[in-house]
Amino acid sequence: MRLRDLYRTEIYDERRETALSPMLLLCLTSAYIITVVSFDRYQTLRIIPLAAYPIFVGLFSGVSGRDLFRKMTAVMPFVILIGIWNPFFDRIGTEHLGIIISRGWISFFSLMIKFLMITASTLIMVSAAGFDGLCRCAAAAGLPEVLATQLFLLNRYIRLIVEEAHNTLRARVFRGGKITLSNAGNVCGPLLMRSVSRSEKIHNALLCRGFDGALWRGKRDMNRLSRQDIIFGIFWTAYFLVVRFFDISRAIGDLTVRCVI
Amino acid sequence: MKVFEIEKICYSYPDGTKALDELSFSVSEGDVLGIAGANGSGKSTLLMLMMGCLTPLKGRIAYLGKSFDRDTVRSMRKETGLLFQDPDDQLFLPTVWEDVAFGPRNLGLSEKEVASRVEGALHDTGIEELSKKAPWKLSGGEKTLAALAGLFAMKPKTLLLDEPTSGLDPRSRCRLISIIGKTEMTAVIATHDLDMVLDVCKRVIIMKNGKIESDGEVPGVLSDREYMRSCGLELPLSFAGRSS
Repeated sequence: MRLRDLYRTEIYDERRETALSPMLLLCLTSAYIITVVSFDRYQTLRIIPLAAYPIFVGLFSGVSGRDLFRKMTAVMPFVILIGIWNPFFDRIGTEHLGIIISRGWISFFSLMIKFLMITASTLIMVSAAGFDGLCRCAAAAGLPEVLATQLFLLNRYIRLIVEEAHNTLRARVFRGGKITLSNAGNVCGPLLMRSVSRSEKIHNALLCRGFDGALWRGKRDMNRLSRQDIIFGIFWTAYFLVVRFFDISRAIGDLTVRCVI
Repeated sequence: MKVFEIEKICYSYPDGTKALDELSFSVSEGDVLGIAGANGSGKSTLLMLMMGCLTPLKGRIAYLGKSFDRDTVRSMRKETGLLFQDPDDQLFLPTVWEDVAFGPRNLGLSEKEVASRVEGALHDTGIEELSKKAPWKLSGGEKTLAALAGLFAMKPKTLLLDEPTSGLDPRSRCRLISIIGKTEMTAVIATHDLDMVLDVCKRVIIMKNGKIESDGEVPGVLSDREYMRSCGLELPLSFAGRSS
């Protein structure tokens, strides 16, 4: 993944016209993540029905699957690096569908599935609700407003530093320059100075328009849930509870076997 | 009535670069003042000082007769809008609509009034169709218009514009000039675009090396080719066309 793709792909770039409230998405995604991680590391098959949530919300919000996949592949190697040790340390065999497989591999696949589900749901939430929407909800939910504002501005300034890094690298490469370990300091120093200079300008621009530390003044009522939000929330909460406390995968499997036989 | 009074202000950047040197002038209510000068003559620094973003090392700036202090700067910013040279510095919220609404919300207006002001500003600048777009996905000209809409939504009494036409295509430039021409606000426009100065300003200040070289009526100042060249400028195209 190229540096500029971090901010160019659609995932974080703009809020989509979702009918769902950011507050609802924040609550549901939190509940979803708690549900996913609450499963035992060997309960791989029981987690699968939970994939319905990111798929449904992703389609509903119009998030591009391709961009989602690109973002996830960027962090996938780290998860593989962590999980790949499981098969070496956990070698106890267990039988699944007549095949003997080590529990290490099962926990490895479980980790991968959990990672995919959590990352996808989080990215979809950020994309559908917009980062400012999430920060606003976090502030409404009790996070100190100063902290929520800092979080939002941090996101803005990360984008800024990525833009500056992209411009600096491009300017060097176009003039035949290469970035090596020995000249990395010459790149990083000006990059930081440029970023500081631009962030000062942005801060001044905020001050000039009356900014006094509160970003979401007068927008509290936007966190109210509509009837559609409430129905959506109740449906998915019920679904998470059902998946958590009943083995839906087994039930579907048994039903399929009965139908076939 | 004097909106801004600037008396013998000096400013140097931390690296020692002298940006402004004993600069004095005033802006009266209803003035449309052009500030022209070569690159590095101190135009942008002057606007930043007038907006209270920088503090002069010497001299005095007053707004409506009151010298700059914390309270004066705060009240001045509610009534004055600054258009930055690079609109990217100004636009930071996820959609154009949200960004334009940022200023009115900071004025403590109701959501209904905010929405009405945003719609009005988007209409005045002709960018209603961009309201749901992300600012960083707009073209240079669209960004400038979005930033200008952000200022108009605050209904300022005074506009400070830093290179408003730089990077604009001819159509966007004409549109911007027509928008600025129609407003009845006091305006200070720092620009290289002398044709724009000719179109919208009544008075012009020519700056050179942080000092005022001349301050007077637009046609009189801008029509002297040799003088303009000595200040690092050229005649406006319409004058150059006439003289050739």
